[in-house]
Amino acid sequence: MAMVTHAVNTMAILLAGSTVRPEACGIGTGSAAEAITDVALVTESDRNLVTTTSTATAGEVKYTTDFGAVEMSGTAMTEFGMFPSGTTSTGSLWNREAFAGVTFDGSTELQVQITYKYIL
Amino acid sequence: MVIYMKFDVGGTVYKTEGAIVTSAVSEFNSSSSFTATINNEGGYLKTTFDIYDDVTIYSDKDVTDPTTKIFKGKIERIKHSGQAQDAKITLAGRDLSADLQDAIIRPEVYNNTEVSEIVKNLIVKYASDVSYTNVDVTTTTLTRKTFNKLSLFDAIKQLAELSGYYFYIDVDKDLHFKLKESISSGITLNNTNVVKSDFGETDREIYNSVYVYGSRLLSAWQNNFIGDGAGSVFNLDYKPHNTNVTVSGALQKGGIAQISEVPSGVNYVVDFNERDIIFISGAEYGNSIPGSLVAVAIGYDRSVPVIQFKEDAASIAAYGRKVKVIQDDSIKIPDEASDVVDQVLDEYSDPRKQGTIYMHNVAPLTAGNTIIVDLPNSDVSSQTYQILEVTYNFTAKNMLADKVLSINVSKKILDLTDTLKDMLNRLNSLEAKEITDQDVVTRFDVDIGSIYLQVSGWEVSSNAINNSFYLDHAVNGMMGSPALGVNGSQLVMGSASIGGWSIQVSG
Repeated sequence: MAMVTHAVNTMAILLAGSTVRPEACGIGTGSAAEAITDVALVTESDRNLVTTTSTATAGEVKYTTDFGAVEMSGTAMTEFGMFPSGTTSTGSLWNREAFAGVTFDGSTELQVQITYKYIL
Repeated sequence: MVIYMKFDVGGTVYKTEGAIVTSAVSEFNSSSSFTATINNEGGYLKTTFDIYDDVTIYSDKDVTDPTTKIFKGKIERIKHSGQAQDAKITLAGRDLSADLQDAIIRPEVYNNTEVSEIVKNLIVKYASDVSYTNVDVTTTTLTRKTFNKLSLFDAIKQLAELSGYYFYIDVDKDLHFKLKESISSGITLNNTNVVKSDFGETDREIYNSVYVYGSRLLSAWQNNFIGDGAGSVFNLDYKPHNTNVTVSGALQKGGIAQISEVPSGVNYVVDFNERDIIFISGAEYGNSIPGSLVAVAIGYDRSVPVIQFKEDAASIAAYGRKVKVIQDDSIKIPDEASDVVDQVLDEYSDPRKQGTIYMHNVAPLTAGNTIIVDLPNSDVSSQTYQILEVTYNFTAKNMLADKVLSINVSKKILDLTDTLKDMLNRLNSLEAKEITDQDVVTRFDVDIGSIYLQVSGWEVSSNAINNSFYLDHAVNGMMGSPALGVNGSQLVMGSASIGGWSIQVSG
């Protein structure tokens, strides 16, 4: 999993009081490997606001995002990442993960959990 | 009767081929260093040691696992030598006082402050990890003391000199600032525990007539005259700086004598060396000579030196006049110069006697403490001396023969190293003489730290909807018979039939 350059830059802005932060999870069907220069998913197909945000573990924040069976139907998901809120293909992503793929045929829902951790 | 030594680096004990621990002292401080050689056959320890690793050395007599700590410090130099079976590693470093030697003081000024308060304040500012529970209150209050770009070590050394104290940092990183020769080691050296001794005395550092020259200050002065209408030259009491001349209350314009091109409009010129103000007359410049009975007021700054001079009559009678001249531009007021004169006379008006004593046994001796020496054949009968230097030379031969420890006692006879150190300090002082505590210094501190943000984990999970009614779903969104769910069962309302989350892929 690659944190991307935008995340580093935005962290500094956050410390200065910005409210632009990861609030949504985007999923897509692109296949290129992740790189720190990524600013978007290769082919973003859907984006939902985070369902729950947990900071139960010190130094960590866990984002959980749900996608319904209807919206996932027919999707061969191969990538995802965290974004600020907004519609698909807007804003810059914070991290991106590309993997072999999971195909949804309408019979299952999707849940994505991403945990960010700060390390000294 | 065998001496045992334990050499510990970072909690691990290593066998050495030899080690020397020296508590090197100056007249007013002590600091220790060590050198140890370790067998590195085949390079098996080649990556074991790192710069700044903690080193602790223990030693006791007839105790195979010694526990008496005689040194604690850090590795500052690592040298590899030899090869194959003859490979060795030589480690060297200083004790914890190295922190004082590496810290540089920004310009600081203390007025009417007792010495121990200055010491504590400097420690807090420049070596905050050093404690000062053993800094004793002195009887010396300094009228004024300035420090300019000096190491913290040298600054405390100066304070020790001015108060007659000595200092060192112990193995627990606590600063000791004690009255000289006030702490006894509790040991008496005589023919029962001394292997051999050498004592010497010299007149080389006797000073009983001392001059201290500080910086020069400008102070305002004024000479008043009544013109006679003819004389153009007015002689002043002092060589003038920054003249301000009025004739009948009218400000005059000035120039410098013996400069061929006198600017137009100048009324007088200044002859600095002759202390003259010379009014100009002539066709080219007009007549500026004050008229008869005209008031001439010449204000100027005079350069006043800070000088103190004192002598020790008894010492002069005994050893002749020995003059020492100290020029220190950092001294700004006479009282500060006076403190320096008093300290030099106290310290140097009598001859210096120094002895080196090689002794049996081993003890955690601290330079600066006192020891009783009773060696009548060396003309030393039960006299209390200050320990100037302690050397532990741990070799197999010395340890078996119980001849590890040697000490230097009495006043230190200054050597070339001390002279060079004094020259360096004076050069630093000279270079920093224009620096004052009033200067505004742009302090841009760069700190290095790091914080990483990473994705520590992720999961993509799916959840089978089975035969649950699912709004807008092409199959599970149609209620009523004979509609079936995606799993072929009759649709139901509610989520009871949903399968539960199953991780499909994670990272």
